[in-house]
Amino acid sequence: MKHSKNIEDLLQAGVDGQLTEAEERGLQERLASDPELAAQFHELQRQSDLIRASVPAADPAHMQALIRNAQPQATYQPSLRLAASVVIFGLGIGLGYLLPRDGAADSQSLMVFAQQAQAAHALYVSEVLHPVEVEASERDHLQTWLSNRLGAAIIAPQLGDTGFSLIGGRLLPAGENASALFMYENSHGDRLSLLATHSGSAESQSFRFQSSADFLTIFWQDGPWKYSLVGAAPRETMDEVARSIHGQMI
Amino acid sequence: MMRSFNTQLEKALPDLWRYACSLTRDRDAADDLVQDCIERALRKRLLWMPGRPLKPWLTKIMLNLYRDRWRSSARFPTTSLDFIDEIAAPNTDPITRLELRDIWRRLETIPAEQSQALLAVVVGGLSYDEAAWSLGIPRGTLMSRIARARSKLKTDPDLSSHSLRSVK
Repeated sequence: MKHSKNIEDLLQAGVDGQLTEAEERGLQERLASDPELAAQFHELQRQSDLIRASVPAADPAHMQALIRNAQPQATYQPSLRLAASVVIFGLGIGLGYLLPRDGAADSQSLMVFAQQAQAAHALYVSEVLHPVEVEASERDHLQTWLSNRLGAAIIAPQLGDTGFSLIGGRLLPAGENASALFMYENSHGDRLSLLATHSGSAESQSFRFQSSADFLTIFWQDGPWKYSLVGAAPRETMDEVARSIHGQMI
Repeated sequence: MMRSFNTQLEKALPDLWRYACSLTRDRDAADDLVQDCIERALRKRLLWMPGRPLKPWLTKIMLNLYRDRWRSSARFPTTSLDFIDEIAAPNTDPITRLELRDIWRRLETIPAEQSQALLAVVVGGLSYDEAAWSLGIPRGTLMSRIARARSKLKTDPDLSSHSLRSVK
């Protein structure tokens, strides 16, 4: 039985063009020595060809028209998304205020911070004109300004190795504290945000992940510093970037 | 990112449209489905991981749209006469024409999960891995669904022996 199941899989994969060259040679040899098998194979192939040939051909000009018609008409969609982001952002800030500030809530407050980071990223990632307040060309000014407002020295990490470069940064609220947002972009136009804040707690928490429909967030706490990295890049990339940041921020 | 996305979109579109056509059995419905699919893909472009193949991702979006619509309107795919005329072009010999009608009628009666799997590979031009990913099932499940679909599509021995002869 096992044997016959395998040969059926082989026939099917052969009909569907899913065999490696070696498997294909093996199949052809078996078909040459087994006329019944060959008939079965050709019948399957004929059936597939019939189905494939009977579906209407796609007209190239018509395909182009479908693409054209599907282009977004106005900025109405992004603005909706923006509005949603503002609501989530507000929610995050609200939650930040509501939560108790004692040590037991540290884990929870880190989660809230991660949500704020995600909302901030969602809000600014699609911003074409002003994704940041201070551009990367004024890196020194950016770092001094944010360090002053955060009450602790912060640098914008260099992510050159991972293909992302700094666009710039901005100041944002995080609960009662100020937080620094750095935005990065790679050559494909993919953007990542790093949100960092400094608070009294000295606890540390290792990397945690949170994914929403749109973004992946990696967040951690290093003593008084909380970090959240948000983006839509693959998890491996996000992981690599987070480790690079973690290494530089120690 | 834009260029790569657009290039892959253009390349994937003919197969995607044909797959939509085979699912809906209606040109206009296929147009609607594919256009909605492109719209959604453009909106969600940030979610697509650059460097990965776009076609399976588009197919997944389209299948979701198709299932939502199919469920909400409780509309079973019915093969319109126009479509039958189209799939069996007038120059096709009468026996093949009959056989084609038979195949498409049978495709209506087998479970949707089986016909969707078969058509994804045969018409949609997806590899087993791509089709399995698009349908959200393991590769082995995909293969057995395709096999079950094929066994149910086998035409009457009478008919198929006729057409076998006529092919020769």
